[in-house]
Amino acid sequence: MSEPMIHAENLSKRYVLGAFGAASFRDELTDLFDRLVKRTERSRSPGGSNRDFWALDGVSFDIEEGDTVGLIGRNGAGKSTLLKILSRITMPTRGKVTMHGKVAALLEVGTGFHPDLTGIENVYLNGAILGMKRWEIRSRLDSILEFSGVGPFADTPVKRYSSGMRVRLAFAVAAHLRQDILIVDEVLAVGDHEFQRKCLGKMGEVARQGRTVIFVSHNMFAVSRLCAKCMYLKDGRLMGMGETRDIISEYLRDSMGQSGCVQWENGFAEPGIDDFVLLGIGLVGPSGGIDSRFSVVDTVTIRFEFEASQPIWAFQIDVMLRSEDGVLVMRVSNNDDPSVNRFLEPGRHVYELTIPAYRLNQGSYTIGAQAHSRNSRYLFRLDDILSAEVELIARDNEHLLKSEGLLYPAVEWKRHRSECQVIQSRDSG
Amino acid sequence: MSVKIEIDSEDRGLSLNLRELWDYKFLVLLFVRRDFVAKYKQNVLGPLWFIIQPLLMTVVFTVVFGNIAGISTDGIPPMLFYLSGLTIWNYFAQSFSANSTILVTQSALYTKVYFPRMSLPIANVIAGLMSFLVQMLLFLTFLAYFRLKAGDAASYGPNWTVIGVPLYLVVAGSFSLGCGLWMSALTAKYRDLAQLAAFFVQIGMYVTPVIYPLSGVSGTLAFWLGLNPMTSVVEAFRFAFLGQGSFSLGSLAYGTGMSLAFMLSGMFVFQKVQRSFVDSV
Repeated sequence: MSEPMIHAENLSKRYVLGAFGAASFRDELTDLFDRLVKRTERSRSPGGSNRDFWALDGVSFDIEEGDTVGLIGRNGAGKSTLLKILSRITMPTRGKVTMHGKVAALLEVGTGFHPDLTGIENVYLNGAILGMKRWEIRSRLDSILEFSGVGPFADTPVKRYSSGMRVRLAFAVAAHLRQDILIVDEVLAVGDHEFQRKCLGKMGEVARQGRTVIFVSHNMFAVSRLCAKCMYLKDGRLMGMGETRDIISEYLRDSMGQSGCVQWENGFAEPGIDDFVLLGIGLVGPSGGIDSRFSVVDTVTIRFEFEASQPIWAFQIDVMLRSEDGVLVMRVSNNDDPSVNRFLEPGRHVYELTIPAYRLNQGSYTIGAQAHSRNSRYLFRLDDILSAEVELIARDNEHLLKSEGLLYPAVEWKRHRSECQVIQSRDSG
Repeated sequence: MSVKIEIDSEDRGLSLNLRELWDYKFLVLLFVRRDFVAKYKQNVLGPLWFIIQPLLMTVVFTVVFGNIAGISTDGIPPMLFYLSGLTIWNYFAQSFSANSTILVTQSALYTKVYFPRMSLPIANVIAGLMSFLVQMLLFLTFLAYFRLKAGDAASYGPNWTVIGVPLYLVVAGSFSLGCGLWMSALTAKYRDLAQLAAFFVQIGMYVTPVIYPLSGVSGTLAFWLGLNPMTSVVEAFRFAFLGQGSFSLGSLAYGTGMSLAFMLSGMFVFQKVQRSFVDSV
């Protein structure tokens, strides 16, 4: 086969930000009419106004049959847009893709699940939505039920399932897809650790069967384990495609370029969010100044400054800290403490999160954050926005020992003279 | 590699992808089933709602239009007259309402996975047949009751034209699908138009001979009412079961043609709109 499995040519996608309904209904009608009848270019202003946003900009690539390709990049780099185009959910504004095979896209697990239907009925429905034929589902039903582990509840309505069972059943269906091309978004981020491991295992299996897989993830560890090749998107452009190791290090080098502080002159607002702007994010050292280098003995404070123009309920901010190789070191949220008032009155706010001293070992860390409000509405989502360097710098005549691992905890050693202390205490307990 | 998929920014104009839709017929069937099960299980009274709603409407119409306004029912017991009109009209109206905002209400599905976009509206129209059948049973029960009560004196009853009923359903279904697709394309772009959908259904019922016979309408007005494809359907349906009303092959042919035209144009518009609507939700 000389032709590539997926051939993408000059893919571009434009979104028009805000400004819906600015024109009168009559204008819109004539515009709609023009579009339907004359099939003219979509925009009234052909030059493209400054409200346009190019989520993808001239992306071209070839993917060969049997390739497992990781797609990496920060949020907003165009990964989701590319996925949606490849899975035919949305159309490119320019360019085209040719794919030689059937495509299954997993942008979410359990799409179309209905709570009133039984497990088996949902397997059929979900399978059919994902493009499986009736006989395909029927012949794999036993295997799907077995993989999901919901066996005894197969005839129970899904609304009586635990959320874990629901996800397992949904993934079991997805795992039994036999399409030539499999597109997987970060659905693996759901579920417990054990389940994620199982999913990764299944993905590896799929890849070994010689099918083409495109895998989108922020987890560099998972990407490097699963994918032989990688594509790196940045600001809607393809920065590089090639061996996973090379591309990941290129991506990380790029990300590490960030300093300990990011400020936006006019504030940063996610597309579609008009009542919340982020003014700045910074790392603050023990002295109170902005810094990106810390010692293991320092407290590290992450400070957010933002402005809400309207009251925001159930404000939640999550902070993710990742190590150099992409391992999630911690993820904390202001929601962890139920006593914190999460109502945000209009105005400027400063939120600070402090990581105590003696926690992080030396190394490079990236910090990402996301916030959402009531109804899971995302206010912003920024991956790897800051980077911190933690070093072994002694202060106050302390003697610091090099240690391995992610943590540098202030551990305590004790030594007792008595024999069999441990066994005795266990007996008495 | 038998399948080749091309995604192109170029709008391919007149392509309905009917072949692909056919490949997904099993999905349509499952959507129908899902719809039915959902209606069944979510309400305490379940399928009884299919009966209660037309029954209450019939009682209200009998009192308001029959007794108070005194609108003629062509010598047919008002209950039967209204029930016959409502049974076929409801099939149109319910399928239309379900489809009028489908792109918006099902956006969670449409934005997460690709499947032939038209399979959901089509499933709705087929699912509407289920509640139609239940209402049909209700109507036939009443018809049998009234016939038995009246004995030989009854001047109304089914005749050979009942063989046309499946065709009437196809016409009502395709007209409903056409209107629903048009409406959903509009509501996807202008959300506030969703308010209009319910209003259209009400207006629609009054410009269709549901609560009055076409024979009681003057010439010019009857002509205008005749432009509505549902007019011929309701009249022919009533004629088939009650022997009253107008049965004309000409108006049926017109109604069929008009419905198909609506359905096809609706499909094209829907296909156009679904290409871009995902980006606006």
